[in-house]
Amino acid sequence: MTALLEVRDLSVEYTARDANAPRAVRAVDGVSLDVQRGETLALVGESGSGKTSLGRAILRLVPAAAGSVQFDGTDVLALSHDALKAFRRRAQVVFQDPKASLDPRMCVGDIVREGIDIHALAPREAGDLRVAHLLEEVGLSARDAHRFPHEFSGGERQRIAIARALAVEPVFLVLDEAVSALDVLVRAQVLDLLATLQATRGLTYLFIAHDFAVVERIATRVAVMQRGRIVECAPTASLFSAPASPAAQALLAAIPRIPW
Amino acid sequence: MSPLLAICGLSVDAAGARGTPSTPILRDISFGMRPGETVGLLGASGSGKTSLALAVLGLLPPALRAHGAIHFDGHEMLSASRGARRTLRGRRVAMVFQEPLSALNPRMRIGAQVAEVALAHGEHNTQRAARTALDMLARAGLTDAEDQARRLPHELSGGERQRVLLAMAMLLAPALLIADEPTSSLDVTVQAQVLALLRAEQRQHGMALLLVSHDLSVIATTCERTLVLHDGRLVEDVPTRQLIVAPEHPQARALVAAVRRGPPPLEHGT
Ligand SMILES: Nc1ncnc2c1ncn2[C@@H]1O[C@H](COP(=O)(O)OP(=O)(O)OP(=O)(O)O)[C@@H](O)[C@H]1O
Ligand SMILES: Nc1ncnc2c1ncn2[C@@H]1O[C@H](COP(=O)(O)OP(=O)(O)OP(=O)(O)O)[C@@H](O)[C@H]1O
Ligand SMILES: [Mg+2]
Ligand SMILES: [Mg+2]
Repeated sequence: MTALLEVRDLSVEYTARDANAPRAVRAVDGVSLDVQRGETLALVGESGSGKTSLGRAILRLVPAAAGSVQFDGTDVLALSHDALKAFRRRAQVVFQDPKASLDPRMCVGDIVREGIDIHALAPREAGDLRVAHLLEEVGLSARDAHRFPHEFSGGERQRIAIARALAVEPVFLVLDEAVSALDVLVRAQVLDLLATLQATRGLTYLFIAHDFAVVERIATRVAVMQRGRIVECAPTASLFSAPASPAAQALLAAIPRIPW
Repeated sequence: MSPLLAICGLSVDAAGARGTPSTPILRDISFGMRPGETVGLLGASGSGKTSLALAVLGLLPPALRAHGAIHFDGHEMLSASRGARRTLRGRRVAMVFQEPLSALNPRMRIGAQVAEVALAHGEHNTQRAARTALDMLARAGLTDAEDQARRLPHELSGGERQRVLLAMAMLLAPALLIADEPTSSLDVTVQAQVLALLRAEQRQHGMALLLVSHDLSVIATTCERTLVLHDGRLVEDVPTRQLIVAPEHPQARALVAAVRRGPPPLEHGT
């Protein structure tokens, strides 16, 4: 296996609005990690630890303050405008808050096929078929293509965002709490779909999640984040059986159990 | 004790576009809640949980039409005037929305949005309102509340936004809080903290809680009783323990079994 993604000493800074002078805070602080081709690296950690910021910096959706990102041998942070467009097709993202990430004026069919058109991946009719097929794969129906985002439930919108990301046949996906609003049955269907795509097309996932049942099921390895740093990175089974860092131990200890 | 909420024969339909027939979203729902009671609302994605919550608040979008009766706190919500509903919404019933980013004003600082709630509910001094807002944000688990209060919604993390909404709802000290997936993007430690806060409010102020969640462990640790929606119908209304130990309806059984068994492992990329 070779690494598809190599992140070195990556930092992301925001400006904190203290009472006094503005001050830079590091939401991501010198993170290094590799993601192998065809693997699922889960990223867990407490709320606010920097998971979303790291995922966005890797895709150049927020600027990096320092560090480097190598994707399939190219330097992502140095890509030209055209090269960035090509990279954006190959590396897709499903955002944490689906409603805010879907254009309310576009019907779902157009939302899902926008990327197919931008990158000229399929002629009109083939594109329509592809959209219908994708909607069905995430548990929606082909007829839903004519409806608008606000006419769906939260979990349905989450699945629309997943269908949109898959439409352009990416090789790498950042999934940011992408199944957090799904019930166990629909979630199993979506995770199966992701696993099948991984097995047949070798997709690679960076899977940000807080739900350990999901992580245990889908991840090859797990990276634990705390205050902007990766404090532990281990194969899934060993992280669950013998967490080394206090952060991982605290998270595992807090998993709620059903009392009966 | 007289019920706080009594829903009787509630149906909601989505108007069909351009001559197509309307689609049923909720069908003939009836249940009640006592003051201070904690009730979980479980159901598959798309089963109608959020629509039910919005109907109680009188916030259904125009395309969704409700029939039946919703008695809340001595008022009939479906026939109440807009003004009366708005007053109740502020004073007696509050909601934490499922998708926090779209529930917040994108151009207003967090602290101001939370303080506005305090000002609308009895506090007249702006400085005291700002202080109250900060205190509640801190109680909801924002560790750097002073800094975070000065930011815009998109400058917070997903879980931080979820806690802002919770803080706003708590400030209202409502008789009924409807929380729609309030912990869906919280890590387990913060989730435990937020659920403890909800239970404390519930005990101290006798707040009733309708907790929408697809996470059975969240409902099990918080709610005495659980409702299960399936395809717009109420198929279970039982003590939570009974739902988990002996679910009756096939949909309830499927939802419970999937959690109890734990999912089968997937084959990793070959
Ligand atoms: N634009 C911004 N300006 C200032 N601070 C920010 C900004 N965006 C994020 N932050 C802060 O950076 C930290 C990391 O945020 P991030 O969204 O990466 O966290 P996260 O791990 O994804 O959390 P969650 O699990 O709650 O989604 C948080 O403390 C957040 O408040
Ligand atoms: N404005 C609307 N027009 C037409 N159909 C709608 C509208 N709003 C919701 N629906 C449909 O009603 C059904 C119930 O939606 P609701 O949001 O209540 O589900 P939910 O149980 O909250 O699901 P989730 O767990 O995914 O949030 C869904 O199938 C949805 O597509
Ligand atoms: Mg996040
Ligand atoms: Mg919902």
